[in-house]
Amino acid sequence: MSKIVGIDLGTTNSVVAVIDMGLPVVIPDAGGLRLTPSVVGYNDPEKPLVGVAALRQAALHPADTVTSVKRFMGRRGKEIAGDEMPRTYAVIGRGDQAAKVVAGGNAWRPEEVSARVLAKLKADAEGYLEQEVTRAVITVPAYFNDAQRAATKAAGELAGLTVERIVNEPTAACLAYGLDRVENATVAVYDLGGGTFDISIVEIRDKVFKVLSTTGNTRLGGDDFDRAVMNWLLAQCGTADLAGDLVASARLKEAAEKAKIELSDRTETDINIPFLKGDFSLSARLTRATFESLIAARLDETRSACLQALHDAHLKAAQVDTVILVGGSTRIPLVRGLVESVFGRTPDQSVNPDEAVALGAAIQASILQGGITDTLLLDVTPLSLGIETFGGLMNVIIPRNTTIPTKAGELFTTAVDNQTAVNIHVLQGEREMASDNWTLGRFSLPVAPAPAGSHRVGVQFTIDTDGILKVLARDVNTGHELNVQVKAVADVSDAEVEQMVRESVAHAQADILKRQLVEAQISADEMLRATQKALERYGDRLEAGERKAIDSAWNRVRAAIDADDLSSLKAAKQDLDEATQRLADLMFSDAVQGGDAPRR
Amino acid sequence: MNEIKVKCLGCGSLEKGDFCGGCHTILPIDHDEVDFFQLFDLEPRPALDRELLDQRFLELSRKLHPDRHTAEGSDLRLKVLSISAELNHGYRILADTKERVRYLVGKVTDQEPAEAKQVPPEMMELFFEVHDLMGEADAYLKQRKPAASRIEAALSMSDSGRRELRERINALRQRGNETVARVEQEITQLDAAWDDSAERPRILERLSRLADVLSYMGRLRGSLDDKELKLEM
Repeated sequence: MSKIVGIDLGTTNSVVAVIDMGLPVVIPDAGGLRLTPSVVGYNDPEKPLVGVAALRQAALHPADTVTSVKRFMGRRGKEIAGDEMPRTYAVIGRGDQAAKVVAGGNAWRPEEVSARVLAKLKADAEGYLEQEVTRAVITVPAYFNDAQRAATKAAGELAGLTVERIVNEPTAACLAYGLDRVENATVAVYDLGGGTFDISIVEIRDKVFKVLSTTGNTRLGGDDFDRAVMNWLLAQCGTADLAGDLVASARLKEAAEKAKIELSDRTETDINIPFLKGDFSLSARLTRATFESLIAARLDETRSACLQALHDAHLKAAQVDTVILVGGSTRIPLVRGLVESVFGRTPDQSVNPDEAVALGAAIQASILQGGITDTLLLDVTPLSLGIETFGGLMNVIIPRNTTIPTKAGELFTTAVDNQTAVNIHVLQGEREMASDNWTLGRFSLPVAPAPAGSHRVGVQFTIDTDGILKVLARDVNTGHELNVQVKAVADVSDAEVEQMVRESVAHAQADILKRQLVEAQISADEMLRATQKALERYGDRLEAGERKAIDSAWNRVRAAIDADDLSSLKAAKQDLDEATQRLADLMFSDAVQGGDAPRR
Repeated sequence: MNEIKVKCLGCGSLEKGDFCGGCHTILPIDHDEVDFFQLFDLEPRPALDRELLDQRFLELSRKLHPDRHTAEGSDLRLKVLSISAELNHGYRILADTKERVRYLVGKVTDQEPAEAKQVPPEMMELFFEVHDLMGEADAYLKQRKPAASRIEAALSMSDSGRRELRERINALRQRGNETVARVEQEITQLDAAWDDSAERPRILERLSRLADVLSYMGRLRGSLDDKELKLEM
């Protein structure tokens, strides 16, 4: 039987691994590279480029190069917010339609793009193993919902792979960490990758890896930090008008990512982009402190998630024995500091943050193949599953963090006489109102006309070991099984897709800039109000010069808000942030010492 | 009784009935209802040895998890999935005191105990206090905006209103924990009298009430935790 490989299908990079002589190893490609960039170039749609080859031509053909497609897997058009839109290629799909990316003049389903990356990994593995590879375990962020998991599975199938299991990334990393350890332990896995964040708490007991809780954010990762640096760089461009210039955007993005990586080892870095626009060359110096201030607010969201995960596991931070860091973004020193402050311990550095997930997937593959027999993984469903009930509320059927596989049954009945169908709205999420949660899908159960309440339909919801929902329904009166099709996305015609492709090329960039301006104005306004309040309380503790600097920065932000100019507004906000640094530090240290902050 | 012999997934021996005599795993037969106490080989009574339950859960998982049966045919694999789902569900019920007590009462009396529609009298005071505090916390959270800059974060950190709310939440949670500890203690006492059949109806009645208290306590603790998390964020 052919070997099952383990694949980490990442936002930025993908990795394939296998168990060789009992040990998990990463499979390099023909060129010896262990990480394959998750990038597909469609400049020639007949012969798409994948990986490093695609990345190399990204700055030349930005509009035809798809990066970070994982963010759009299994998502609907309406779910993608303006600030999430990529700068260089377009994403289309309205309302409940599935999101598609536009490149090389065509609209592609995200799973088609991912399938290109998977097919390359499959070929690399075949070259290395010298045998055909047809089966794989593929990892996903733990916080992926039903549709995102199903899309990942579909991508594998499009690439010619039978997907034997979908495994959560942090859990896979934990397997890689714990495989050779005999002692029992409670492990927290902090996984911050290119596009997604997960935190999982895992209890290892007698080689059974039992996930206690997991939570995360599927829209938070290194891409967002790159974007923050890009915005800062744009603000440094002064009057150079870069709107709508895709090549300039692609070069800025490349420079932003490079600067971010350099700041993990250094305290400052110089960014030089010659002839960015016409004669204009960008040259700027970014310090680690400024970088940290740019990403601090987003990064702080992971702190809340860690607290939530501990709470759900019924544990205090001190009860966690080990914290492991996974994902490239955990190389950022500020991330390490945050993890230390939440868990009160230095993170364990024994796993390779880029490779642990793929190695864990290979371990799970071996478990499925009967190779590793002493280890077992018990994972959970990250999101509560429920149905909409009377009054628009969500009724939870399977709570989050329930060990999978799991199942739950519900009985439904008709509400009015001669009703011919019972409509069921299936949801995932933690909010009380159905409309605030994510619609997994809707289905309709046909029933024979009868007086209200006389017909009963039993529905069984099963979440399988991939974390994917299956629904079975049975008419209780007749005993017949009913065919259930859970519909998650709206259909869309080819003509409509073509129309959207055309429009996206024409308007995408202008729309994005307009949205960014409005968002920046709102947040600047809030910052002004906070500064004013802080000055009322702490102003007397500042030196005259400091006070003057704040006042002048404050006025510049005020003027920039009214001027409707994004780049000057961002620069002014940056100045105000720097001018108020000591004021903020004063207040932080007061708050930490506790108690004696002046009252209003 | 079931006359058909089935191959046990745990040890491979041919057995009839619901459970394998050899290794105590559940047999792959369609079940209308699985007895969770029987599944975990535990006595159906109010108190439970949690350590033993955890141990049995791990043992059974090792035998029954779908990962252990990937080479079987697709029909059997579906059954394994279903049994494994049952095992996980049963563990969740037995590991949670409220769910376990309600399950036990339901089994013994052969009817699902009705969930309380009203706040149990002994919790009335705590209930209203929590309710009021939640209102205050909501009002506080509503006027607070997410910090998008350092100066905004500093302003919210130095806010004394937040600290005060958190202290009050902690005090109420402490009282809630004491209530739960008292309920757990009473369940242990009821367990001691469980085998006395004359006492049984009284015990069952009392267990239902205690489950109600735990159910309301769960909700109260949930809202306290939720607000505390939001205040911390």
